[in-house]
Amino acid sequence: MRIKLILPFIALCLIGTACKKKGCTDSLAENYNSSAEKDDNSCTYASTYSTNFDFVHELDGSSFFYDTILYQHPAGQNYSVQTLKYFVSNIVLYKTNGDSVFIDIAHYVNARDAASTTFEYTESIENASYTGIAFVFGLDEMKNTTGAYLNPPENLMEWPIPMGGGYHYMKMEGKYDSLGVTKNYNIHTGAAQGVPHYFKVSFIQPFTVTDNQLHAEITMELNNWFQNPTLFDFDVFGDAIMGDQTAQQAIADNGVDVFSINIIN
Amino acid sequence: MKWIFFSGLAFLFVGCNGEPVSIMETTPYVETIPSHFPYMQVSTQNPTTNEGVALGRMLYYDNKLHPNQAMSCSQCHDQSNAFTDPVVNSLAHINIGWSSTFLWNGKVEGTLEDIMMFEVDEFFHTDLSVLNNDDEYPIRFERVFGVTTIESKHVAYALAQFFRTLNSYDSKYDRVLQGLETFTAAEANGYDIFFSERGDCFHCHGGALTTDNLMHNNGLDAMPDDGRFTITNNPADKGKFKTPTLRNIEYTSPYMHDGRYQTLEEVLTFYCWGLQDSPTIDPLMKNVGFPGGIDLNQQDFDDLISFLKTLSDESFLTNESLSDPF
Repeated sequence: MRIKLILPFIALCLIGTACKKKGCTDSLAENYNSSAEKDDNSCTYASTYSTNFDFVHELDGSSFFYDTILYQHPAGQNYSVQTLKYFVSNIVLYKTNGDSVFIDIAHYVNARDAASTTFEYTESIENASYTGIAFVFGLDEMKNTTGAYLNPPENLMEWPIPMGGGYHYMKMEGKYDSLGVTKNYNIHTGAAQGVPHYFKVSFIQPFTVTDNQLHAEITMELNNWFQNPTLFDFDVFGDAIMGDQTAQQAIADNGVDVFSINIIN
Repeated sequence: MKWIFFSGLAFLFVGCNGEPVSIMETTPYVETIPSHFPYMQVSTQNPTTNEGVALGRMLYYDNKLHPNQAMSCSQCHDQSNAFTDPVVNSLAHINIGWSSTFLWNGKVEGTLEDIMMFEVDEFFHTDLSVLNNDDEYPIRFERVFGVTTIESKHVAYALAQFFRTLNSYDSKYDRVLQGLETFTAAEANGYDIFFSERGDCFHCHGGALTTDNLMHNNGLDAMPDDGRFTITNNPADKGKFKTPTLRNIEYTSPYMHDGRYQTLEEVLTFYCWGLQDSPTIDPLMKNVGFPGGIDLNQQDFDDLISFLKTLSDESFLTNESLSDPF
């Protein structure tokens, strides 16, 4: 009998509290809801720190138009760029005192998608003097394992198991003029048959961090993939290099001076 | 029992936004997807529920979506043909809960809710009064969405919930990936061709979904159809069409956006020797000049088809929970 009386009372109480609109009531929060009357602990706050690495892509020192056979390859042919997607990972900031800051990431860049061309790191970076920055182009053995990425766009970089597994380090695709005939090229780099071809890119570039954050611009010069030390002629290497260790190593060797850095602040 | 009834009445009374609402008697829809599949995005605005899926299934098979009640989704997407149609050559409704690009030319981008809004409002031009005056639908919509007036959004959301269950992952290919079965020698060779540059199928048809859900010109014609160009007006997009899934490809004839090929042999003959060059052909289409494709020998040709047939999922074609409920 007593239960029968209490339960309706509880239900009425529930009606009263349920009708106070819940949400984030902190006006300083990212998701502040001005119409919320009861805080539901859902408030989220922007990070205090924002270190940005912007990835910029140039061809012969300038920005370029995609899908246009307009740019001269070091081997002499004109070529276009249609696809440029790649991974950078394991960013290291070297301090003057010999210590280093390791940013354990694998960032996917699609040069045609502005949303992907900036990597933002929201942890605090120690205020100090630094001597330089390095990163891995591609994915090291720890990160280059099939199944690490199940969702797009990263999973679309899959390097199939019959070819060694893992992921493409880079897909650069387009067309070129071969003695008057338009042909396709595919620079698909990765661990060919499991043999790694990722490489470390290092910049000796002193800078100082004073507000626990950093802004750097990293520029890829596309033509440098095809020269110094190896002239990477599309006609010689062909358009199917995923199993070609020589081609993979040539791109890796050429890649060391593909990037430059500009510390903005 | 009395307690349940009483509390139900309480929530019938008034909602937090001041509008009358009724009991939303829903239970979360649960499906175990194999771990080699991507994570399926589900709108927080439209959580999948058993009741919502059941409602979407009714709508999928009901002519009432059409203003003259002349056709349903299922008319062009027949389960026995893996939710496509051999005459209409409609894109198969397989695993599109993982897609964010819809229709052959990618006209609609976004979520399943977005494409279903297009289907309800722009494709079917659904007469909502038919649903609102129906004997059964208002009760079901009220139960799922707590609404007393059915709007386009609610129809689209219910359909989206059903579409999220049109999932095929019980093929031999899946069972091999899970270590439950092994390929025959022919299938294994076909798998190797598919997933290497011998066939180079995987760049567009890779992963668990066997589609990148992107747009490509695969070299069908020297003067390609407009394709995505009709949407973007960008000449670089001429001849680009959405990559279809290859799951259940054995059952989704005809092939290509215009249904020009009737058999897998015809399709593979095209990819081996029939590529046509054009300014927008995808760079992934190798050997377009000579020999015009991947140039497989007869054994490899046959083995690749054997592998493609391991993507067949008979349980998907007969799954009663996806069938016509009427």
